[in-house]
Amino acid sequence: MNLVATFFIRSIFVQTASAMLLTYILIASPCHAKAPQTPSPGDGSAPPASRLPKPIGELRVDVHVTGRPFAEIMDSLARKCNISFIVEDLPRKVAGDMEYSGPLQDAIDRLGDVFDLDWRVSKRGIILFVKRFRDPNEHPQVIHSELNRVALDVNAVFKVIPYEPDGIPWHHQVRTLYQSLNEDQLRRLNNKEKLTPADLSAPQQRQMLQTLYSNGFGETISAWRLFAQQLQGMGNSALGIRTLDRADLLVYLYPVGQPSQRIQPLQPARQIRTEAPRQ
Amino acid sequence: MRKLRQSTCTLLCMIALAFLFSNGNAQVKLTDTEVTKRLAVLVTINAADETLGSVVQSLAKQTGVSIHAAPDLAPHRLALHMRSVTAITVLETVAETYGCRLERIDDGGIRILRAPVKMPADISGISAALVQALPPAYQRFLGLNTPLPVPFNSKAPLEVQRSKFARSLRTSLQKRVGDPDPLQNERIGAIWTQRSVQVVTGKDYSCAQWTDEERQKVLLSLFYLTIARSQYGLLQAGFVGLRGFELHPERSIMKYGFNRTGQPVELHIGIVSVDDHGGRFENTFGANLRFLQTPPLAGQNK
Repeated sequence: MNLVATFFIRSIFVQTASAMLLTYILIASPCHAKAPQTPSPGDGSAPPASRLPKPIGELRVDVHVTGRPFAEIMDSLARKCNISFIVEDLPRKVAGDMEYSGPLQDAIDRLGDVFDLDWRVSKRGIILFVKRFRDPNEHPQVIHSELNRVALDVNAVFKVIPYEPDGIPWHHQVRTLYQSLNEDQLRRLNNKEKLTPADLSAPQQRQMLQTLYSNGFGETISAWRLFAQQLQGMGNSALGIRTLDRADLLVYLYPVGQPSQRIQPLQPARQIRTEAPRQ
Repeated sequence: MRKLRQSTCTLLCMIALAFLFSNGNAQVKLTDTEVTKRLAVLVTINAADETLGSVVQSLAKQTGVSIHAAPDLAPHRLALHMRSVTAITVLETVAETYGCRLERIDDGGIRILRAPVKMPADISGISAALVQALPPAYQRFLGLNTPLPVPFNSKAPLEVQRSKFARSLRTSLQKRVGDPDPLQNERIGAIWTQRSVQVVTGKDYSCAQWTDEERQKVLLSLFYLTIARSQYGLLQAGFVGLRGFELHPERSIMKYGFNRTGQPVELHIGIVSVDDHGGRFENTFGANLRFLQTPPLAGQNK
């Protein structure tokens, strides 16, 4: 039923426009433009250099391997050329092929391409490989304790947005705002005029700002709050399976002993639209 | 005489055990100079598939310095080959790889940990704080560290370029994490194609019994869903921030949208922004008036 309602609501809204709203509107002042907060790797350093020092980078190497893991190929190169390396995570691709003769610099570039890795030389001269996520099946390491910390931090960061979620989706906030408009305001809208905050009462102004925040960040804040709850409750969770309409199976996560509460589907039930998608 | 020998023997054993025990647990607090000296020794470490925690333990053994990795970092899997480099080089490289820092601890040792996020005082600092909250691998996964193409659109203000670019990243991210609706998310579907026999209807298969692989599947599924639901907000907050909105709330507008026959059909809400050259960008989102005129369903609004 919830899904039907959700679908109905979705169908009557202009979704594309909403998804683009903050694209233009949340733009910063000129002073912000002069000091852009460019997202950068964690250490905030300049873009990494992926060039080896000349004498090393120009060393000629031969790599002729079939079906070998990244670490093994790179280990062999490291021994031959007396270099050190680290890779932040094992590539999803277990083994790769490489036929190459030429400078070490290009050999490492090719190896990165084969295993979907970027590389750079660290501050201490070590070759540092990281996943570049061009392979759509690659993902970061998912570690419970780390995710838990990230979820708490992200939630704390989003607290700075003066938005009171209260579980009210933005489209309901628009309705509250609309239903608060008086006859004069409605008449002006009908006359193709634009209402600005100066034309609204103080409660209406607050409602309008909340609606804008809600549209831009409501779903994001709600998703990360749920994520933090799920991670913290995982130690007391169970996996279950449910047959839906004799047609498909649904894997879901729930608190142990309470299968009817807080069901979080983890697997899609194709062709079935009767289960509430989320809390 | 025999009893005496037995008791003497027992006593000696106890003394020996006490000696061993006390030595084994002795915590010798190293001075800064001593730690620096020990971490300057050359080490060789090879690992094809190890955890960060075990690499750090190996270093601790080789140097005699107490070295610990924070619990959220220790399980990270990595590969490395470091030959005849100083121990501090290994530690600093590991820290650089995971966006961490090294910190001295009370026993004179070293701890490797992530720096606490500097929480923003107001919404103007949200971009920087968000980037800091996400480990480097997550930033790359989201595309937050992707450099803006130059020139992406030289005429538009930088923030508009950033915003457009953030939008363009959503397509590739969507491919990786799937649909925000779990029932439609094919990525998660693929993860759960193969299920353990313990996952059966009507029975708890509790967390304590899950295999490591199943735990990973659950975590990855929840992570994908969270990113799928929040990618728009994350990318906008990361690339654009909210400073302009904070500075100019007066630029918000409300207007009707009309159909071809001139009848009002939608209510639009949005903001007008002005670029450096005086150009005006109006962007709104809308709701159908028929929906707005109906009373909310029971339980929809608190």
